[in-house]
Amino acid sequence: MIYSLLALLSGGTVATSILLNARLAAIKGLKKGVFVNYLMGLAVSLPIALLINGTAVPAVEFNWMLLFALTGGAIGFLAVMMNSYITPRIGILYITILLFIGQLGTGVVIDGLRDGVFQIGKIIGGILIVAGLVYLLKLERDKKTNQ
Amino acid sequence: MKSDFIKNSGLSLIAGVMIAVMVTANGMLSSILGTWVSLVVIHFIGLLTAGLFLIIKKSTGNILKGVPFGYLLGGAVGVITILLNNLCVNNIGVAMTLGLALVGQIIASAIVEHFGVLGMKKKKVSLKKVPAYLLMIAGAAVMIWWS
Repeated sequence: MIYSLLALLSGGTVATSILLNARLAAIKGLKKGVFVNYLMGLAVSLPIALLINGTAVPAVEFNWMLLFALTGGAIGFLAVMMNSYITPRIGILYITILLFIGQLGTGVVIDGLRDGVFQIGKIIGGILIVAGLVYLLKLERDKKTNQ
Repeated sequence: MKSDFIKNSGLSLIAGVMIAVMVTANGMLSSILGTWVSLVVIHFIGLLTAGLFLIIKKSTGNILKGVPFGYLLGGAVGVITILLNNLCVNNIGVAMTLGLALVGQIIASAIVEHFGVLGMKKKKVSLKKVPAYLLMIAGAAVMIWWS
């Protein structure tokens, strides 16, 4: 339950940083904006890590799992770039919906492979969320075209 | 035009797949390196990728000039997002983390607009949108209690 609340909360922090980063990108352009975003992230996370963990580097063994785990930061950058390429070409309505379907579908598959079981609640819950999202975005688009 | 739409739809889905893979990779890194060190590494690799891109595009210089301090906070808030995602993904899985985050994001955006916080123009949430929000909240509830 606590993790469900934290996941909902992370949506709030996503909304906040999207707002702030959009303003940053309006001044600096997207590429520099993303760079500044990671720079600030490093400036915040490094002192905290040093404070909590000290300067000791965790001993890790190199393997393919570690190599894959290290790609997250780079994938994040690529996803932001793709997002900015696609959005003006397809519109915010479609990209938001398709992006979410891609995320959730992949999430269900990854969870299923990891746990060895596909949970129906995640799929039905996901479909309800997609339905709400489609409805909401359609209302917003209809209002815009009427203005 | 139609083939462009199909291409961009496909790219949107792929971007969604990438985000799910990214969240999985970051969660794995968090279990390998620990909560705080992984945050540093994720932002360092993101910064490196973004920096490399800027160098290739010959778009360096004046990175921080003229940026109001408040806009820098997007990157700091982003640290909280990744921290929450890493905590959640290792406990409730990828699908629920991303599904609930989306619902949280939509609700947070509505609150930001409705009350006009963070410098946004005040825009009351119309009653017409309530069914869409309820549908999404129902989806979140199904995910939480039927998984």
